[in-house]
Amino acid sequence: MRVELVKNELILRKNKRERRNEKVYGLITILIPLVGFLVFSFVPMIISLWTSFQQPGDGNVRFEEMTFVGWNNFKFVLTDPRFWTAVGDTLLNCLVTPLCMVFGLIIAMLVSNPKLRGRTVFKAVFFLPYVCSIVATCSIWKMLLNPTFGPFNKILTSIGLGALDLNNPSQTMPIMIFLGVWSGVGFSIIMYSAALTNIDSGVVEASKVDGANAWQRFWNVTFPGVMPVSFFLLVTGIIGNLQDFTRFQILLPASSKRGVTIAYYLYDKLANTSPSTATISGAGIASAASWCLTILIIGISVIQFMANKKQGDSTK
Amino acid sequence: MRVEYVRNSSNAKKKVQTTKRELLIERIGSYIVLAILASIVVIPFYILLVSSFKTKGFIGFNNDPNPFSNMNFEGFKTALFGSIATFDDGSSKILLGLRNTFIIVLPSTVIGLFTSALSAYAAAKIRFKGRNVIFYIMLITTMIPGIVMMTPLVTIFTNLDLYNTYFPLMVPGMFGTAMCVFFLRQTFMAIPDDYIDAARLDGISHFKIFWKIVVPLSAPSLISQGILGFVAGYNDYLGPLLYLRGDDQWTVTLQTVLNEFLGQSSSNLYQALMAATVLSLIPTVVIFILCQKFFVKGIVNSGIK
Repeated sequence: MRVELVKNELILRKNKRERRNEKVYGLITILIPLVGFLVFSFVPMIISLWTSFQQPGDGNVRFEEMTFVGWNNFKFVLTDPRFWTAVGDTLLNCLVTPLCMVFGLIIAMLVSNPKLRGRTVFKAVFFLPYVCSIVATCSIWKMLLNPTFGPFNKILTSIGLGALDLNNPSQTMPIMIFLGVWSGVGFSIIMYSAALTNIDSGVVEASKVDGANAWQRFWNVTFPGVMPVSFFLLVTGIIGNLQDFTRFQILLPASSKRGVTIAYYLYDKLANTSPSTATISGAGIASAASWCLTILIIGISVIQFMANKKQGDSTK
Repeated sequence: MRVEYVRNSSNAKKKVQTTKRELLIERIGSYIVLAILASIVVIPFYILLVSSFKTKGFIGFNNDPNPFSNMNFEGFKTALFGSIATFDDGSSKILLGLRNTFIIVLPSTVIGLFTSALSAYAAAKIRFKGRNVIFYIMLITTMIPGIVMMTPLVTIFTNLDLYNTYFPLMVPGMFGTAMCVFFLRQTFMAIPDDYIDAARLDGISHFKIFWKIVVPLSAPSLISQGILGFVAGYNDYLGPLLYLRGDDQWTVTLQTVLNEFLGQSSSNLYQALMAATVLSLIPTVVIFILCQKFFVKGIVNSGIK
């Protein structure tokens, strides 16, 4: 390697061997995560596609014991009424994301006021559920919502309202959505707080001088400023909600009338719900169901991206 | 002219006053809204903490006005060493679960962070053909829903006789994640190319530049990504549920033990369940309180696309 003066600029010249070594080192290191993806994601996807047309042997998932059954797994899934209940509940669960965004933006705007004392404490408090594991969150709320001695229900019954019951089919989804918002809103707050600090305070001041009221300021300055973050939160949030199932699996039995999301449905088909047993059945049906879910996720994401693009075009 | 000026200035003064009053109302209003919303978060944790020390949980909510009476450590004793919380040899499931969780999560987080950083360095600082194409392919892979992989991964690992080992929980993460690469690349790109060029002129290899210059300069970003990765691994429930049987000293993990308690909880075991929940939360909450800045930075980074 040497330095040359070309047109009054110092330029680093590398010889062929150096350039080749650099390229080899760069390629090897940049490709490590992709190798991981190839082995642990891409190959499994292909196998999943293959498995969705197979019937596994009795009580195991050995490849050599699988038999080809055509579209039977998909037929089973698409004609199973429990699958369609799962689709409905999964779509309902997507309410978590917009709710998190609304509350996240409100709280972020409130705590972004520099004159407010204790903002860091508030921020930390709202973020606390986000660092809790799903199991811990479920454990807390299972205790609070216990139909007989849960404190939450004691208060409700003492003021004359009926007790909440997770196993009551009409209450299952509202409670689960509340839990999703409770544990997820911290993320939205952090993201919105960062976006709000990036909004030029000069623009806000200028709009104040021009006599814009609070609502006009929000609508014309804050809202466009947080649009990119909102879109990010919406897309990633919905993708996550569509795959949600751990809190459902922890709090509800697989036989529950409501609240068995698509992911829970396919997990239930894949394995016995008890973690201590290894009997696995229905891997074919589970694969078929997971591809149905994937198509749903891709479809909804494409709609979101198209809507975002259309909106971007119309504002230009 | 003069009169108008005075009137104008008095108007202006009036305006300032109303905004001051408005500000006060705004502030009080903010506090009220924030306090209500914060109590929805704080009260469950408060009840959790108190009930972990009380034999009858928060049953005394109505009859026992003093929540701090009759406190004891029975819940923690049962959660750690009670008959439902131990194996036949008397070893505590929670403590073993904690040990196993650390054994699984720490190496995979550290090695994953290292490989992600190596990859991010190549993506940010080494110029070669095809670099950007590879990087964009990596970004696309983050869009693939993880749930498709659940069934085939269980199938594959069972076929490879790796079910009920740490392999499926540790090794995939060691290759680094595309998300992590993306954020570290952003950080590395902020380091001036001149540093790297100067070091290259002195004949220093890319790996040495990475290790001696780039890593120390971007320590905050690395730490925040590491913390995020660790907490995610520590809180992971699905992985152990899918790949570990969780029925002996080496295959229990903290989250699955907690879930086991949750499944068995009858009213007289609630204190133990609450105590176990408190114990499981201590590490993450301590990390969160100590490293809040890193934590928030990591999360914000993870969202800027």
